[in-house]
Amino acid sequence: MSFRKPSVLPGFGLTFGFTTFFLSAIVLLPLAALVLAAASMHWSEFVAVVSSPRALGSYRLSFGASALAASINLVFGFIIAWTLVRYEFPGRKLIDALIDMPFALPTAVSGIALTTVFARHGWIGRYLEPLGVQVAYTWLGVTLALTLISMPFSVRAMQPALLELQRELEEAAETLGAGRLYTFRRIILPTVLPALLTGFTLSFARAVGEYGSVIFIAGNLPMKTEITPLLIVIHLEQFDYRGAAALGVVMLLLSFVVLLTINLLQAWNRRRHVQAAH
Amino acid sequence: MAGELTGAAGLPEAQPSDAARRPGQNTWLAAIVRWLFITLSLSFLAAVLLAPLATVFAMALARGFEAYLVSFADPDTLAAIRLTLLTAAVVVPINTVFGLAAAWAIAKFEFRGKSVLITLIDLPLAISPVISGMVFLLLFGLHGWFGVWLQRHDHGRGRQGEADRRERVGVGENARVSREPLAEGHGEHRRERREQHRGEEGE
Repeated sequence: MSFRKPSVLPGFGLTFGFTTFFLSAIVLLPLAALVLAAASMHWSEFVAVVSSPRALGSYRLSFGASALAASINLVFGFIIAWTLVRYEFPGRKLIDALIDMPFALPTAVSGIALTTVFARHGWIGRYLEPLGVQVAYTWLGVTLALTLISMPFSVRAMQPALLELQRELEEAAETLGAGRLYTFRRIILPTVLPALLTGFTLSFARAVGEYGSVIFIAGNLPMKTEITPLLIVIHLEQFDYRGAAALGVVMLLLSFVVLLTINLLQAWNRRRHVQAAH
Repeated sequence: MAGELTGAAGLPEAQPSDAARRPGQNTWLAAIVRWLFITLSLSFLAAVLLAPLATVFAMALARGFEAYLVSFADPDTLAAIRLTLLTAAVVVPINTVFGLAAAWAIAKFEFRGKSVLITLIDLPLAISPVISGMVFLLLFGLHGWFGVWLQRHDHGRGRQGEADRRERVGVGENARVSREPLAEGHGEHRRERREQHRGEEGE
């Protein structure tokens, strides 16, 4: 078996060679430096850094708030995607374009703006304060910032799946007497499930690594509102490169797990489509 | 399949009054769901996306349009904008060439390890920006792999050496220099927070 299937098209050597060279220089070599920096520590030293109470507190906040943000985006991402795909209303195109805003906005700007809106005297914060809800400088604020910056991922992951939904199937289900909830549960949900899960995983991956917006709204109190990326930066500020690298490796492993999950989900989805076609 | 058959057997009985309605359209239930979805979407987006966006404009123009324009006269602001545009002008063409090459190799050919290559291309998306920055500090910082080499090849090379040094400083030293005010900023922020906490307790 040869390395590649023969093709009449030119340029495989050039494009493949350049791609692997560029990836090695920009992605693989730097990551190798990270892993080697962490590997130069003694094992017990590594464990001490990555399992210190402060690090554990930061994982709890980072992963907990990210999971919560991804769940919020799962629900609202579906609702928004459904609204944009199915309903016609004034300003729909504008809203559709605005979804990508968090991609384009510098994350620091999103963080400062959210803090202003949800601070005690902000536009929305002033109505929440009498209710005893404080958003800015608490874990709620962290979740909010993560929800904002990862929202486009879930909406954009679900939109194509909803567009591909065959309305004839829903109509057929209804003519056969299925109620709306039943149709949703048995026809719509199974079809868009891979897209929902992909959106969730992408949002989660984006949220766990986020730094710029969170540091402005979090207050950054150790053990309470300190996220893992911030802890890495604090290690770097103290010139503790190896400690920073150790925490970086933990987050890198998580990134691999997330990517693996996405790939498995997509493979599962492809298999389902192939089965459905036969 | 058995599961689906039992599912179909468990279907709710069609009501006689349902016979007149067309599936999915123009019923009062459809109208309510439609209204609910649009309201939910718009209020979520208004709170999370539009309000912060409006604040940015409100804050920028709070002291009038002239004050807004004056802020561009600040040399620091101009230097920052210039640097942002310069780096973008360098990065975008490089990534366009890379993207074209990678897309050609992936879309037009079948080869072993293709999915590994795709995963590696996706990797930066899943990596924290903090880590992406740190790895280059490990490579090009003064104590990094290439930092020592860059420093050694810096001596007595006149203008070229100066440019090299600036570049190296930009990656290694400058990160430190800029981190210090950053660290100070964090400190201030934390102090403010503590004060605010105290203030609240006092109320």
